[in-house]
Amino acid sequence: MNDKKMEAIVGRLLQTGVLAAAFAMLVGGVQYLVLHGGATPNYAKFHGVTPLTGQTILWVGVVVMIATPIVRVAFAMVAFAMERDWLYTGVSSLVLALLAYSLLA
Amino acid sequence: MIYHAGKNVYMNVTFFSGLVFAGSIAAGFLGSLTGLGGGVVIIPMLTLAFGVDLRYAIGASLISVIATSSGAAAAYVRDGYSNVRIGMFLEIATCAGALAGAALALHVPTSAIAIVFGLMLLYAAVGSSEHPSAESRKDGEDARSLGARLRMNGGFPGGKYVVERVPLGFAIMVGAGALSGLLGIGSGAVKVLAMDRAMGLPFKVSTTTSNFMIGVTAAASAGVYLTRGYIDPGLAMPVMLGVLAGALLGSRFLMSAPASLLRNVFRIVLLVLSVEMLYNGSTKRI
Repeated sequence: MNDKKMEAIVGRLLQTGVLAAAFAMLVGGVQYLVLHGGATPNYAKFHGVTPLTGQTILWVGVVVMIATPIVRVAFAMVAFAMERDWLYTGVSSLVLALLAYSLLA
Repeated sequence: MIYHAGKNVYMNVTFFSGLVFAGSIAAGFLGSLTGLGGGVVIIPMLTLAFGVDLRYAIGASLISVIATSSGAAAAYVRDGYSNVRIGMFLEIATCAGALAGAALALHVPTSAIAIVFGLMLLYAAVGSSEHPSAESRKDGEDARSLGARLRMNGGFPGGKYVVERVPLGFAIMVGAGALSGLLGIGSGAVKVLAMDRAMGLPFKVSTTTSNFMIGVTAAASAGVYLTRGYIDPGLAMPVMLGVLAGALLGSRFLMSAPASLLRNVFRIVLLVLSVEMLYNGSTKRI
Protein backbone atom coordinates (compact mmCIF):
# COMPACT_ATOMS: atom_id res chain seq x y z
CA MET A 1 0.00 0.00 0.00
CA ASN A 2 1.33 3.44 -0.94
CA ASP A 3 -0.30 6.87 -1.10
CA LYS A 4 -0.97 6.68 -4.84
CA LYS A 5 -2.67 3.32 -4.60
CA MET A 6 -4.64 4.45 -1.58
CA GLU A 7 -5.89 7.54 -3.42
CA ALA A 8 -6.99 5.45 -6.37
CA ILE A 9 -8.98 3.13 -4.09
CA VAL A 10 -10.49 6.08 -2.19
CA GLY A 11 -11.59 7.60 -5.50
CA ARG A 12 -13.25 4.37 -6.58
CA LEU A 13 -14.84 3.97 -3.15
CA LEU A 14 -16.41 7.44 -3.23
CA GLN A 15 -17.64 6.98 -6.77
CA THR A 16 -19.25 3.65 -5.93
CA GLY A 17 -20.92 5.11 -2.83
CA VAL A 18 -22.45 8.03 -4.74
CA LEU A 19 -23.64 5.82 -7.59
CA ALA A 20 -25.16 3.26 -5.20
CA ALA A 21 -26.93 5.96 -3.17
CA ALA A 22 -28.21 7.71 -6.31
CA PHE A 23 -29.47 4.41 -7.70
CA ALA A 24 -31.32 3.60 -4.46
CA MET A 25 -32.79 7.13 -4.46
CA LEU A 26 -33.94 6.70 -8.04
CA VAL A 27 -35.58 3.30 -7.49
CA GLY A 28 -36.92 4.29 -4.07
CA GLY A 29 -38.14 7.58 -5.52
CA VAL A 30 -40.23 5.85 -8.16
CA GLN A 31 -41.67 3.52 -5.54
CA TYR A 32 -42.34 6.45 -3.21
CA LEU A 33 -44.12 8.49 -5.89
CA VAL A 34 -46.22 5.50 -6.99
CA LEU A 35 -47.29 4.89 -3.38
CA HIS A 36 -47.52 8.45 -2.07
CA GLY A 37 -47.44 10.67 -5.16
CA GLY A 38 -51.01 11.81 -4.71
CA ALA A 39 -50.65 12.77 -1.05
CA THR A 40 -50.18 16.32 0.18
CA PRO A 41 -46.58 17.30 1.02
CA ASN A 42 -46.17 17.74 4.73
CA TYR A 43 -42.95 19.66 5.30
CA ALA A 44 -44.25 22.99 6.56
CA LYS A 45 -44.32 21.78 10.17
CA PHE A 46 -41.52 19.79 11.75
CA HIS A 47 -42.84 16.46 13.00
CA GLY A 48 -39.79 14.44 13.96
CA VAL A 49 -38.51 11.20 12.51
CA THR A 50 -40.31 10.04 9.36
CA PRO A 51 -41.61 6.46 9.66
CA LEU A 52 -40.22 3.81 7.34
CA THR A 53 -43.49 2.93 5.61
CA GLY A 54 -43.13 2.86 1.84
CA GLN A 55 -39.77 4.61 2.00
CA THR A 56 -37.43 1.76 2.87
CA ILE A 57 -35.40 1.99 -0.35
CA LEU A 58 -35.14 5.78 0.04
CA TRP A 59 -33.78 5.25 3.55
CA VAL A 60 -31.21 2.86 2.10
CA GLY A 61 -30.11 5.67 -0.25
CA VAL A 62 -29.83 8.15 2.64
CA VAL A 63 -27.86 5.73 4.82
CA VAL A 64 -25.50 4.68 1.99
CA MET A 65 -24.83 8.36 1.26
CA ILE A 66 -24.01 9.20 4.90
CA ALA A 67 -21.97 6.00 5.23
CA THR A 68 -19.80 6.71 2.15
CA PRO A 69 -17.48 9.33 3.73
CA ILE A 70 -17.42 7.31 6.97
CA VAL A 71 -16.26 4.19 5.12
CA ARG A 72 -13.67 6.37 3.38
CA VAL A 73 -12.22 7.43 6.75
CA ALA A 74 -12.26 3.83 8.01
CA PHE A 75 -10.46 2.70 4.87
CA ALA A 76 -7.85 5.45 5.25
CA MET A 77 -7.24 4.34 8.83
CA VAL A 78 -6.52 0.77 7.66
CA ALA A 79 -4.40 1.98 4.74
CA PHE A 80 -2.28 4.25 6.98
CA ALA A 81 -1.78 1.32 9.35
CA MET A 82 -0.60 -0.83 6.45
CA GLU A 83 1.87 1.93 5.57
CA ARG A 84 2.94 1.86 9.24
CA ASP A 85 2.12 5.56 9.40
CA TRP A 86 0.99 5.47 13.01
CA LEU A 87 0.54 9.23 13.29
CA TYR A 88 -2.10 9.24 10.57
CA THR A 89 -3.60 5.95 11.71
CA GLY A 90 -4.25 7.81 14.96
CA VAL A 91 -5.55 10.92 13.17
CA SER A 92 -7.95 8.80 11.10
CA SER A 93 -9.22 6.88 14.11
CA LEU A 94 -9.88 10.15 15.94
CA VAL A 95 -11.97 11.39 12.97
CA LEU A 96 -13.75 8.02 12.91
CA ALA A 97 -14.46 8.31 16.64
CA LEU A 98 -15.99 11.77 16.13
CA LEU A 99 -18.19 10.40 13.33
CA ALA A 100 -19.28 7.47 15.51
CA TYR A 101 -20.08 9.89 18.33
CA SER A 102 -22.28 11.95 15.95
CA LEU A 103 -24.41 8.89 15.21
CA LEU A 104 -24.66 7.63 18.78
CA ALA A 105 -24.89 10.79 20.87
CA MET B 1 -43.37 35.19 -1.89
CA ILE B 2 -43.97 32.58 0.76
CA TYR B 3 -46.63 30.04 0.11
CA HIS B 4 -46.88 26.85 2.01
CA ALA B 5 -47.17 23.75 -0.06
CA GLY B 6 -50.56 22.21 0.39
CA LYS B 7 -52.00 25.21 2.21
CA ASN B 8 -52.39 28.19 -0.07
CA VAL B 9 -51.65 26.30 -3.26
CA TYR B 10 -52.75 22.77 -3.86
CA MET B 11 -49.81 20.56 -4.61
CA ASN B 12 -49.40 16.82 -4.44
CA VAL B 13 -46.18 15.00 -3.63
CA THR B 14 -45.37 14.18 -7.28
CA PHE B 15 -45.72 17.79 -8.43
CA PHE B 16 -43.87 19.07 -5.39
CA SER B 17 -40.99 16.60 -5.91
CA GLY B 18 -40.78 17.58 -9.58
CA LEU B 19 -40.50 21.28 -8.74
CA VAL B 20 -37.92 20.65 -6.01
CA PHE B 21 -35.97 18.43 -8.44
CA ALA B 22 -35.94 21.18 -11.10
CA GLY B 23 -34.91 23.83 -8.58
CA SER B 24 -32.16 21.57 -7.24
CA ILE B 25 -30.75 21.06 -10.75
CA ALA B 26 -30.46 24.84 -11.08
CA ALA B 27 -28.87 25.12 -7.62
CA GLY B 28 -26.39 22.33 -8.30
CA PHE B 29 -25.53 23.82 -11.69
CA LEU B 30 -24.89 27.31 -10.30
CA GLY B 31 -23.14 25.93 -7.24
CA SER B 32 -20.69 23.90 -9.29
CA LEU B 33 -20.01 26.68 -11.81
CA THR B 34 -19.30 29.25 -9.11
CA GLY B 35 -17.57 26.87 -6.73
CA LEU B 36 -19.84 27.85 -3.85
CA GLY B 37 -21.74 24.57 -3.74
CA GLY B 38 -25.46 23.89 -3.90
CA GLY B 39 -26.31 24.17 -0.20
CA VAL B 40 -26.28 27.94 -0.04
CA VAL B 41 -29.14 28.09 -2.58
CA ILE B 42 -31.00 24.88 -1.69
CA ILE B 43 -31.91 25.93 1.85
CA PRO B 44 -33.33 29.38 0.97
CA MET B 45 -35.13 27.81 -2.00
CA LEU B 46 -36.81 25.13 0.12
CA THR B 47 -37.73 27.43 3.00
CA LEU B 48 -38.68 30.60 1.09
CA ALA B 49 -40.26 29.24 -2.08
CA PHE B 50 -41.62 25.90 -0.91
CA GLY B 51 -42.41 26.70 2.71
CA VAL B 52 -40.40 23.74 3.98
CA ASP B 53 -39.45 23.82 7.65
CA LEU B 54 -35.82 24.91 8.01
CA ARG B 55 -34.92 21.66 9.78
CA TYR B 56 -36.03 19.48 6.87
CA ALA B 57 -34.27 21.84 4.46
CA ILE B 58 -31.00 21.49 6.43
CA GLY B 59 -31.30 17.69 6.45
CA ALA B 60 -31.95 17.43 2.71
CA SER B 61 -29.19 19.90 1.90
CA LEU B 62 -26.63 17.93 3.93
CA ILE B 63 -27.35 14.74 1.97
CA SER B 64 -26.87 16.60 -1.32
CA VAL B 65 -23.66 18.18 0.03
CA ILE B 66 -22.23 14.73 0.82
CA ALA B 67 -23.23 13.50 -2.65
CA THR B 68 -21.63 16.33 -4.64
CA SER B 69 -18.51 16.40 -2.47
CA SER B 70 -17.97 12.65 -2.78
CA GLY B 71 -18.70 12.68 -6.52
CA ALA B 72 -16.28 15.50 -7.24
CA ALA B 73 -13.64 14.25 -4.79
CA ALA B 74 -13.55 10.90 -6.59
CA ALA B 75 -12.22 12.72 -9.66
CA TYR B 76 -9.92 15.11 -7.79
CA VAL B 77 -8.25 12.41 -5.69
CA ARG B 78 -7.27 10.57 -8.84
CA ASP B 79 -5.86 13.75 -10.38
CA GLY B 80 -3.45 13.95 -7.45
CA TYR B 81 -4.30 17.49 -6.35
CA SER B 82 -5.95 16.90 -3.01
CA ASN B 83 -3.71 16.10 -0.06
CA VAL B 84 -5.17 13.19 1.91
CA ARG B 85 -3.01 13.84 4.99
CA ILE B 86 -3.85 17.54 5.30
CA GLY B 87 -7.50 16.70 4.67
CA MET B 88 -7.61 13.99 7.31
CA PHE B 89 -5.79 16.06 9.93
CA LEU B 90 -8.10 19.06 9.43
CA GLU B 91 -11.16 16.81 9.48
CA ILE B 92 -10.54 16.46 13.22
CA ALA B 93 -11.26 20.20 13.42
CA THR B 94 -14.21 20.30 11.01
CA CYS B 95 -15.90 17.24 12.56
CA ALA B 96 -15.53 18.60 16.10
CA GLY B 97 -16.90 21.94 14.85
CA ALA B 98 -19.75 20.23 13.00
CA LEU B 99 -20.76 18.28 16.11
CA ALA B 100 -20.81 21.50 18.12
CA GLY B 101 -22.71 23.37 15.39
CA ALA B 102 -25.33 20.65 14.98
CA ALA B 103 -25.75 20.31 18.75
CA LEU B 104 -26.24 24.08 18.96
CA ALA B 105 -28.79 23.98 16.14
CA LEU B 106 -30.93 21.55 18.12
CA HIS B 107 -31.37 24.13 20.88
CA VAL B 108 -31.58 27.38 18.94
CA PRO B 109 -34.86 28.64 17.43
CA THR B 110 -35.00 28.27 13.63
CA SER B 111 -35.49 32.02 13.24
CA ALA B 112 -32.05 32.60 14.77
CA ILE B 113 -30.51 30.04 12.41
CA ALA B 114 -32.22 31.82 9.49
CA ILE B 115 -30.60 35.10 10.56
CA VAL B 116 -27.13 33.50 10.77
CA PHE B 117 -27.81 31.97 7.35
CA GLY B 118 -28.77 35.38 5.97
CA LEU B 119 -25.56 36.92 7.30
CA MET B 120 -23.53 34.09 5.76
CA LEU B 121 -25.22 34.68 2.39
CA LEU B 122 -24.54 38.39 2.68
CA TYR B 123 -20.86 37.66 3.25
CA ALA B 124 -20.78 35.22 0.33
CA ALA B 125 -22.46 37.83 -1.90
CA VAL B 126 -20.38 40.90 -1.09
CA GLY B 127 -17.42 39.80 1.02
CA SER B 128 -15.80 37.09 -1.03
CA SER B 129 -14.11 38.66 -3.97
CA GLU B 130 -11.52 36.88 -6.02
CA HIS B 131 -8.17 37.07 -4.34
CA PRO B 132 -4.97 35.99 -5.91
CA SER B 133 -3.94 32.89 -4.05
CA ALA B 134 -1.35 33.32 -1.33
CA GLU B 135 2.02 32.19 -2.53
CA SER B 136 4.18 30.11 -0.29
CA ARG B 137 6.30 32.64 1.56
CA LYS B 138 9.19 30.38 2.36
CA ASP B 139 11.08 28.29 -0.11
CA GLY B 140 13.03 26.20 2.34
CA GLU B 141 11.47 23.43 4.33
CA ASP B 142 11.84 23.87 8.07
CA ALA B 143 12.04 20.35 9.46
CA ARG B 144 10.90 21.52 12.92
CA SER B 145 7.76 23.26 11.70
CA LEU B 146 4.45 21.70 12.68
CA GLY B 147 3.54 21.13 9.06
CA ALA B 148 6.74 19.19 8.48
CA ARG B 149 6.40 17.19 11.67
CA LEU B 150 2.84 16.27 10.66
CA ARG B 151 4.22 15.22 7.25
CA MET B 152 1.82 17.53 5.42
CA ASN B 153 4.17 19.03 2.88
CA GLY B 154 3.64 17.59 -0.52
CA GLY B 155 3.65 17.93 -4.23
CA PHE B 156 1.00 18.21 -6.90
CA PRO B 157 1.04 18.27 -10.70
CA GLY B 158 2.55 21.76 -10.76
CA GLY B 159 5.12 21.89 -8.01
CA LYS B 160 5.83 21.40 -4.33
CA TYR B 161 4.44 23.25 -1.36
CA VAL B 162 5.25 23.85 2.29
CA VAL B 163 2.44 24.02 4.83
CA GLU B 164 2.44 27.00 7.18
CA ARG B 165 0.51 28.16 10.24
CA VAL B 166 -1.17 24.85 10.98
CA PRO B 167 -2.77 26.00 14.29
CA LEU B 168 -4.43 28.99 12.60
CA GLY B 169 -5.72 26.80 9.78
CA PHE B 170 -6.98 24.29 12.35
CA ALA B 171 -8.84 26.99 14.28
CA ILE B 172 -10.53 28.34 11.14
CA MET B 173 -11.54 24.78 10.27
CA VAL B 174 -13.33 24.40 13.63
CA GLY B 175 -15.35 27.48 12.61
CA ALA B 176 -16.01 26.08 9.14
CA GLY B 177 -17.26 22.84 10.69
CA ALA B 178 -19.51 24.68 13.15
CA LEU B 179 -21.03 26.73 10.33
CA SER B 180 -21.58 23.57 8.34
CA GLY B 181 -23.25 21.80 11.24
CA LEU B 182 -25.43 24.77 12.19
CA LEU B 183 -26.58 25.70 8.67
CA GLY B 184 -26.42 22.42 6.77
CA ILE B 185 -24.04 23.69 4.13
CA GLY B 186 -20.61 22.49 3.00
CA SER B 187 -18.90 25.80 3.94
CA GLY B 188 -16.28 25.12 1.29
CA ALA B 189 -15.45 28.82 1.02
CA VAL B 190 -14.28 28.95 4.65
CA LYS B 191 -12.28 25.75 4.23
CA VAL B 192 -10.53 27.18 1.18
CA LEU B 193 -9.85 30.36 3.18
CA ALA B 194 -8.14 28.32 5.90
CA MET B 195 -5.90 26.39 3.52
CA ASP B 196 -5.24 29.00 0.85
CA ARG B 197 -4.93 32.08 3.04
CA ALA B 198 -3.79 30.76 6.42
CA MET B 199 -1.76 27.69 5.51
CA GLY B 200 -0.31 28.97 2.26
CA LEU B 201 -1.37 26.02 0.11
CA PRO B 202 -1.68 26.36 -3.67
CA PHE B 203 -5.23 27.35 -4.64
CA LYS B 204 -5.94 24.18 -6.57
CA VAL B 205 -4.76 22.01 -3.68
CA SER B 206 -6.94 24.05 -1.29
CA THR B 207 -10.12 23.76 -3.34
CA THR B 208 -9.77 20.05 -4.06
CA THR B 209 -8.79 19.17 -0.49
CA SER B 210 -11.69 21.30 0.77
CA ASN B 211 -14.04 19.37 -1.50
CA PHE B 212 -12.59 16.13 -0.18
CA MET B 213 -13.25 17.23 3.41
CA ILE B 214 -16.78 18.56 2.90
CA GLY B 215 -18.30 15.06 2.69
CA VAL B 216 -16.83 13.95 6.02
CA THR B 217 -17.82 17.21 7.74
CA ALA B 218 -21.36 16.95 6.41
CA ALA B 219 -21.53 13.29 7.49
CA ALA B 220 -20.72 14.35 11.07
CA SER B 221 -23.61 16.86 11.01
CA ALA B 222 -25.92 14.42 9.24
CA GLY B 223 -25.20 11.84 11.95
CA VAL B 224 -26.51 14.24 14.60
CA TYR B 225 -29.54 15.20 12.50
CA LEU B 226 -30.41 11.68 11.35
CA THR B 227 -31.62 10.51 14.75
CA ARG B 228 -33.40 13.82 15.39
CA GLY B 229 -35.66 13.45 12.33
CA TYR B 230 -34.19 16.33 10.30
CA ILE B 231 -33.53 14.07 7.33
CA ASP B 232 -36.71 13.17 5.46
CA PRO B 233 -35.92 10.71 2.64
CA GLY B 234 -38.89 11.84 0.53
CA LEU B 235 -37.49 15.38 0.46
CA ALA B 236 -33.82 14.36 0.32
CA MET B 237 -34.51 12.31 -2.82
CA PRO B 238 -35.38 15.09 -5.33
CA VAL B 239 -32.83 17.44 -3.73
CA MET B 240 -29.92 14.99 -3.90
CA LEU B 241 -30.72 13.72 -7.40
CA GLY B 242 -31.30 17.26 -8.68
CA VAL B 243 -28.15 18.75 -7.19
CA LEU B 244 -26.07 15.81 -8.46
CA ALA B 245 -27.47 16.18 -11.98
CA GLY B 246 -26.93 19.95 -11.87
CA ALA B 247 -23.36 19.62 -10.61
CA LEU B 248 -22.58 17.07 -13.31
CA LEU B 249 -24.00 19.44 -15.91
CA GLY B 250 -22.04 22.31 -14.39
CA SER B 251 -18.73 20.47 -14.58
CA ARG B 252 -19.32 19.97 -18.31
CA PHE B 253 -19.85 23.71 -18.85
CA LEU B 254 -17.11 24.81 -16.47
CA MET B 255 -14.54 25.43 -19.18
CA SER B 256 -16.73 27.37 -21.58
CA ALA B 257 -18.83 29.40 -19.12
CA PRO B 258 -18.26 33.17 -18.76
CA ALA B 259 -17.05 32.87 -15.17
CA SER B 260 -17.10 36.51 -14.08
CA LEU B 261 -20.57 37.19 -15.47
CA LEU B 262 -21.90 34.05 -13.81
CA ARG B 263 -20.31 34.96 -10.52
CA ASN B 264 -21.91 38.41 -10.63
CA VAL B 265 -25.34 36.97 -11.41
CA PHE B 266 -24.90 34.47 -8.60
CA ARG B 267 -23.88 37.26 -6.25
CA ILE B 268 -27.11 39.14 -6.93
CA VAL B 269 -29.08 35.94 -6.33
CA LEU B 270 -27.27 35.45 -3.02
CA LEU B 271 -27.93 39.07 -2.03
CA VAL B 272 -31.67 38.73 -2.67
CA LEU B 273 -31.78 35.43 -0.77
CA SER B 274 -29.83 37.01 2.07
CA VAL B 275 -32.36 39.85 2.45
CA GLU B 276 -35.24 37.34 2.34
CA MET B 277 -33.63 35.10 4.95
CA LEU B 278 -32.83 38.04 7.25
CA TYR B 279 -36.36 39.43 6.87
CA ASN B 280 -38.09 36.11 7.46
CA GLY B 281 -35.77 35.23 10.32
CA SER B 282 -36.18 38.51 12.13
CA THR B 283 -39.98 38.45 11.72
CA LYS B 284 -39.96 34.82 12.93
CA ARG B 285 -41.64 33.55 9.79
CA ILE B 286 -39.03 30.81 9.50
